[in-house]
Parts: sequence; C-alpha cells; structure tokens
Amino acid sequence: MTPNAVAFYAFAVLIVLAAGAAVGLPSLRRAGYAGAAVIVLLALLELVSGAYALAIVQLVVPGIAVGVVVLVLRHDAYRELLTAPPMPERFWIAAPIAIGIAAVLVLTLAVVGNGWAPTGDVVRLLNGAQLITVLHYRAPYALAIAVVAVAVTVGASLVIGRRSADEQTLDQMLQQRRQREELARRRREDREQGRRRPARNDS
Amino acid sequence: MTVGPGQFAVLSAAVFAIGIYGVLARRHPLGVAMAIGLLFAAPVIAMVGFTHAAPGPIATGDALAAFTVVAGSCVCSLGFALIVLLWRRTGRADIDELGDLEG
Repeated sequence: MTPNAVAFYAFAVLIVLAAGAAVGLPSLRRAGYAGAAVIVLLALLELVSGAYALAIVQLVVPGIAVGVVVLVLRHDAYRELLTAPPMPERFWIAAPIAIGIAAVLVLTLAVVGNGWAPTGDVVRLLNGAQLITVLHYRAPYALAIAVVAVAVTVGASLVIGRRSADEQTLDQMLQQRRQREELARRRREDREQGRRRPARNDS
Repeated sequence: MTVGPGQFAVLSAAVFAIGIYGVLARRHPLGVAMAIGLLFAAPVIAMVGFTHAAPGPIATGDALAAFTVVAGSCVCSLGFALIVLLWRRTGRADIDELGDLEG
C-alpha cells in the first residue's frame, strides 16, 4: 500500500522534530519523552504505510525495553542518574560529522533513485507475501535466532544489572560511613558554635 | 503527489544523521543510548519505504525491519544495564570520565 503523501510528510516532520529533541534537549527526562514519541510516531508511519505487523513489533518490543528502563530509574538509587546536571555538548565536532554523513547519504540516495526497490522476478515470486508468511516460511531460523537473542539479552541484562551480596554489603558500609561522617560534622559544628558564644558575650 | 522509496530513504538519512550527532555530542551515557536507538530506527524507515512504497509489496523488508527493531532493543537494553552497573560502581555519568577508568 503506497502511503498517503500528506500523512507521510506530516509524520516525517514530526519524527525529525522528535528525534532532534531526543538528542538536543538538555533535560534527560524530556529527551526520554521525545525518544518515546519517536517510537510511537514510527509505529504510526508504519501503520500508514500498511506494515501493520511491523507496527505492532515496533510498539511492543521497544515498549517493553522502555518500561523496564522506567521501572529501574524510578528506584531511589538511580534517580540521580536521570537528574544529572546537563553537561556541555561537543557541538563543534558532532555537527560537521552529522551534516557530512547526511549529505553523503542523501547524495547517494538521489543518485540511485528508485533503484533500491527490487523489481522483476523477485517481485513476481514474493508479490503479496505478508510479514508473518515471510517470517514463517522464508526466515524461520532468523526468527528463532531473534527470539533467542531477546531471551539472552534479558538474561544478560539481569546478570549485568544485578546487585550482588558483596555490593549490598559495600553499599551498607558506605551508607554507615556517610552517617558517621555527617554525625561527626554536626558535632564539630556544635563545638565551634559553643566556643564562639562565650567569646561574643565577653566582647 | 505520490510518495516513493526515495522520500523514505531521505527521512531515514535525516534520522540517522541526527542519531550520529547525538552519539558524538551527548556526554551522558543515557543520552548516547537514546541516540544509538535512533541509529537503529533509521534503517527501519528505509526498509518500510522500500517495501511498501515500491512497485510490488515484498514483506522481506518488513522482516528485516522487524529483526532490526529486536536487535536495536536488545542493544539498548544491554547498554542500559552497563550504564546502571557503571553508575553504581563509579557514581559517574560522564562518558569522558568513564574513559579514564583503570582496571
């Protein structure tokens, strides 16, 4: 299904704006919202283009990943990770490289034109095949590998991100040390104040 | 006015360039992870265009795009797990400072 031109251009502008916001906004929280908007807009673009199954995959798989990230970042220990102060960006090196790559890509695509699209026998052989059909009959091993990759990723992420017993003990010791230092600081300040008070009365 | 694979490809190139900018410019690891997600999103746009805006729909492009989405999500999840681990161990959230880590 050829997408409607107005819908395509509307989604294209929104996707570029959201992507720009995702990399350009200093606040990471807002940048995250913009990134989520990019995912939703991509799924909508795929719906408009007629790739219904792909739109579902586009929403569900990254949606689960984003959900896990949000759950982790809501934990007290990681709040500071999201609220880190904005750091100066390396605009002077990033912008020329990005513009150069965009120019090369657009130039290449303009030269090739519609030559990217397969034609002839390939089209006749596969004409009308849906995503589910292709995954089931033409790429079953790739589908299995993708499922295994997801399972391995979940396992690896859990192993990497877990808090071992040693780390828990270390965290407790660090917290106790911070509390002791805080207590000592308060006592020191109280002593200092106690010493200053009689001096003021004498004068 | 019709939309062909070329328009999708240009949109894909724009998103890819924005992603490259994010990877190079951002110093917070979460920002870099988001930019890498954009790099994975760019070819998906191109493949959707080549599949659905070309003469004769071939779902092979959709299949490739689906695998790309899965791979991108896996990479970003693993990257996030590594970021959380580094944050817990070092308390730092600056890519430049993380480069100075010693074993």
